[in-house]
Amino acid sequence: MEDMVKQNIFSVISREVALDFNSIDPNADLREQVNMDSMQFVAVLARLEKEFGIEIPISAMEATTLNEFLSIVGNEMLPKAG
Amino acid sequence: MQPLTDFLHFGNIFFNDKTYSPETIRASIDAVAENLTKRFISNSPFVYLFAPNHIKTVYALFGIIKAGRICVLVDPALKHFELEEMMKDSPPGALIRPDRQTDVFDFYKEIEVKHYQLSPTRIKGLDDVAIMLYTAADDGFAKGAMLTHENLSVSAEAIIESISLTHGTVSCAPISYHHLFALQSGVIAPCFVEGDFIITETSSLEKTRNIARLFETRSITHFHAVPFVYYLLGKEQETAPRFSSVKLMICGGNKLSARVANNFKKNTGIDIWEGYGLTETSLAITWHPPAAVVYRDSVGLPLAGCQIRISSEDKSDIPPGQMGEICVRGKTVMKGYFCNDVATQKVIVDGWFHTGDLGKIDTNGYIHLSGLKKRMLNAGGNKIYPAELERFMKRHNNVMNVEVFGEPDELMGDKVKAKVQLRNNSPEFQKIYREWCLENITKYKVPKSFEFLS
Repeated sequence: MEDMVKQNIFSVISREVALDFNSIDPNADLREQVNMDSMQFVAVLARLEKEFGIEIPISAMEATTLNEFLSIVGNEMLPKAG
Repeated sequence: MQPLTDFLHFGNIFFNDKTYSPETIRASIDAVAENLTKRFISNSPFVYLFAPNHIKTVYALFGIIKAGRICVLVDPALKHFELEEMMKDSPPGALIRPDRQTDVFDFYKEIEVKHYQLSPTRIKGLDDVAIMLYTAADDGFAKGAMLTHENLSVSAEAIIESISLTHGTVSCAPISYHHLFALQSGVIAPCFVEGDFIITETSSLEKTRNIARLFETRSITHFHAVPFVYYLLGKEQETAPRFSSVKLMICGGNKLSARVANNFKKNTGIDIWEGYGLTETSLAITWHPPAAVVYRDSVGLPLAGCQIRISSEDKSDIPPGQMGEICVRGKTVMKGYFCNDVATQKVIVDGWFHTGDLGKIDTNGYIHLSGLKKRMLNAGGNKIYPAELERFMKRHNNVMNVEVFGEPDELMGDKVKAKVQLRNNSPEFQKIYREWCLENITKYKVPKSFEFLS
């Protein structure tokens, strides 16, 4: 994934919860690590949609690790072919 | 005065895949009322109900009222800072903490009887009060808004008429039951017309997503929720067929954004209707009637029996189109704040309740909200008063100063933030302070982000 896209996502998440991305294990449960409740998680998704003009699929709700989340959301943020 | 319980005509209640019949509901309410009457030793009229979205909350609510007591609705997640102040203000004769694991009360385990004796003058003239909710902490101190049997029954009747609730309708309000929005529209109003209702909640993402399934299995006709639930529901796959039974979807708590409403309509074909109300007005005071034009920037027209005017700073009327404070008059306006004449007289002037909300009435009679006169934040329908929160957050001995403020959030209304100045500002002490806030202050009030000032 492009670094800029990743940075954008990080920036939105860090506005929702205080966190140090260097201390996050990208393959462990993200919400547990940053103490983010389900409402905050949904708020992050909505904020990403609004700020970047994308529609995030419902499957993003099932992402548990940072890597899974970045993969789903990043896909929507990359320019679509055609 | 006719007690609220005289108006109740139960349908079925659906909870955790079980159906509770009107006979079971009535017997369970009677059992609560009987137990309270038998065991009460205090002269306090108050019974604190820690109200999860659970069948036993319904039994306890109506049981308390049937026993002639006042139900003080309490957030089950309330922490001791708030609770100790409430109990000092209105010492209860009993506390009911429903055990979520069972659907039948173990009275001796779940009802704790207290022996407080209150001064007779303090509890004089409360016979007509049915429910009390603590709110309006704009000066830093929460006040008990007293809602009478008449307030609640008139409000329920207005809701029933406005949304055509009747025997055979199935209501669902997955909002915390310590909020009047959930209790009035999802419990009390259906119980006036033998309507069925579903008890569910949104305490986890999984539970929230499961609500989509309930539309199919329970044929929901009237759905009441906050914006973030609609945001999620609009994303569920193949949502449109699931909603075939729906007559009305209603949004409250905080303002629904046009983007979420439009996305929901695009994916489901259904319009979401919005209203406006406050705890002190026994819930809704405005509503978009189904036959009326929906203006997304408006909260609708005044409900039957509600008069609304816009007031200037000097309490005089402001003409249509101009901004001022929204004021309400009608039988749904609370009796007042418990034992707080000063606060009551500040908000109820010549029969008009001053909401503290700013807005205007347009030339078609629609109400438009534009901001707040009071210092309050709204996080997903939970009202947070910075003055109260700052007072609590300053109780830690490492704190020099705290400033609470909000940042606009599309789904939640406001996101609570705080600037904090600590005496010892090391990362370790910052962590200790955050944890202390979560331990002592109710979770939804605790700021989502802290900015520690050096």
